[in-house]
Formats: sequence, C-alpha cells, structure tokens
Amino acid sequence: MQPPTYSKGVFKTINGGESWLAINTGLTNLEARAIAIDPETPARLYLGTYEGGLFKSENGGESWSAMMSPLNGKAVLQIVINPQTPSTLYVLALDEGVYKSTDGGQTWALKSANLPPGFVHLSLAIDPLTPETLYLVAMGFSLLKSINGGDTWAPSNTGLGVHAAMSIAIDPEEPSTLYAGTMSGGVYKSEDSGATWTSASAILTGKSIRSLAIDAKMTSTLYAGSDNSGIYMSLDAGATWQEINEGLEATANITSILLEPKNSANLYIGTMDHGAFKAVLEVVDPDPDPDPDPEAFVINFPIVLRDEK
Amino acid sequence: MKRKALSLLLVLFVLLAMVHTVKANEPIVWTAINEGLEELTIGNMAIDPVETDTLYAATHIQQRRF
Repeated sequence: MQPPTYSKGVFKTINGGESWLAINTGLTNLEARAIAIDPETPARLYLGTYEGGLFKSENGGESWSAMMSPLNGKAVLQIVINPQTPSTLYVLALDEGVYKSTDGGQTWALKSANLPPGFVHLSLAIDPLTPETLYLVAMGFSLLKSINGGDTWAPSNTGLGVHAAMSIAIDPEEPSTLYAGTMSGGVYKSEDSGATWTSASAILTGKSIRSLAIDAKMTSTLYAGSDNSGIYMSLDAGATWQEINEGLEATANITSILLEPKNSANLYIGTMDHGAFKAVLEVVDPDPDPDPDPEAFVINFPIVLRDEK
Repeated sequence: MKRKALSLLLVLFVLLAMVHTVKANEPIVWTAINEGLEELTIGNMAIDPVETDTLYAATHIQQRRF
C-alpha cells in the first residue's frame, strides 16, 4: 500500500534545527503522530502513526520496519519508554487504551482491563523513579493512575473539578509532584502523587494546556503550551506564569515542548500548523560544569529574564 | 540593636539574591526552524539524549479527530 501523498512523515535534523530531512524509508503510513527514542540506545526509535500502527528504526531513522502487533491499523497517539528498562514500552492507542510490551515491542498486551469504557485516552506519563507508576489522561474522565504497570487503573482527579486533563508532567526529582494541563482550566498541581490537585495558574484560567515540560536541571522551571495562545513559563513551580511568545503567532497551538538534556537553556517547540521553533534562554551559570550530567540537579542556576508585562 | 542589625542583614541578603537571579531584561525570542520541514503540523518531537543537536519531528495532516 502506498502511503497517502498528503502526509510527509518524519523529519530529522542533526544541526539543532538549522535544516531538516525527511526520513521515511520503509514507512507505509506517513501520518506520524508519536516518536520516542530509546534512552540507552538513541539510534533505536519507535514511531506511532495514525491508523498505521507502529514502526521501529535501529539506525536513527535511516530506515524503518513495521512492528507486527495488535496495533496494526491503529492510531497511535503516544509512545512511552520505561527509562530504567527501555525494553518496556507503553503505547497509547486511540479508542483502545494502553498497550504494554516488555520485550522491545515484539509482543504486546492490552492494559485497559478496568479502564472506563468509551473514553478517549490522550496522554500517558511514567514515574521516572518508580516506573510501575503510570498516569493516564482520559478525555471525559480526566486522570487515572496505575501503580502496577498498567494492570489496574484508578481515578486520580480529586480537585480537578470540571476541568478535564489534557496533558501531564512529572517532576523528575520529586515524582510525587505532578502538573496537569487541563481543558480551559490552565495548569493544576499535585504534591501527593496525584491524590489531590489544586489550580496552579490564575493567569492561565480559561486556557487549554495541551503540552507541559519541566526543566530537569531546575525543576521549579516549567513550560506550558496552550492550544490557542502560545506558551507560558513559570520559574516558581507553577505559582506564577508569564507569556513567552515573542516570535510566535499569538494563537500558536503548541503540541510539544523539548528542553535540550545537556543544556536546558535551549528550548524547542512543535506547533500545530507553523512548524518548529527554537529559543535560547539567556542564562548565567555561576559555576558551569564542563561535563554536565543530564540527571544532575543544579542549584543556583539563574536565568536572565525580561520584565513581567 | 542586635535585632535591627539582623533585620538589615536579612534585607541585604534578599536584595542580593534578587540581583543574582534576575539580571537583565532580555526577552525569550522564538525563531522558526523549518528549513526542509515540508509539513508544518507537528504531532510530536524527540531529542537525542547524547547527540543533542539531533532531533526528530513526527508530522501529520491537521484534519484529524485527535
């Protein structure tokens, strides 16, 4: 089957976004929705497509092969890799729920046993320190949690009220601290592993937050991407936020936010219809590390800011 | 007297901390990086944790339910 001509598939840059090249050899579906990198073997990539199932590359995207699985023909919205055991993968499939593989994608099991039926699942996050703990964002049901690798799920949305969650991020240093981007309710925060939630974003009230990111080097720095008003930044763990939209369309829909692992001053975002953008924060590091550890927590890492509007 | 001196020291410490963390008024400016990117709707991106100039963008057409 020839891939639809209107889709363009996957692109790769090796120069920080100065130029991109299509890397679609072997793909039979170019509606690329989700991509994930094996953290221990970065040349190993997983790709989820819309109604085309899963593909895998072992050579940094030079070529792809279809993964035979129950996901064939399914719409894959997200791929999550266990950071401690990268052969364990979770895939979020539209209208299906969560699939899990413990052998690098050779076999899969549906982990939706007690998920509420009829709900669309939008986002999945894994606790980096206790990876059997998962959080699942489900449209119409808000937030669910599993503490056994997806075997069972239970609601985890006390305090979210009427605001359905759209996205979720976990503090990598303190995984009991979570942030949820909601539909029309801004950002909510939990400091008890999702048991209770409170609004963390007066300025974002009314905004729908579809993407969230936490600076792993300074976890009080957060980024929230909205579906129609660009991107916001917090330097105080969600207490206050400011727009950082210079250079973006005022109505930008932010689908993904990336921070460079070795230098989180380099930010990348993906948007719904305006492509990719890069920003470099003006950072003054009083004690630069010549060989930074991406997992390190850096205290006293001041960021140069503009005035609040 | 001792209490006043301590209060003064505390105020000075807070002021110094503010100067240290907020140093200028440089805005954060986004620059489009779309050369060669033939589709501008990005569903998801990923960055290589080792070769951090290497990024991937999964693109698709916009007219979809999710």
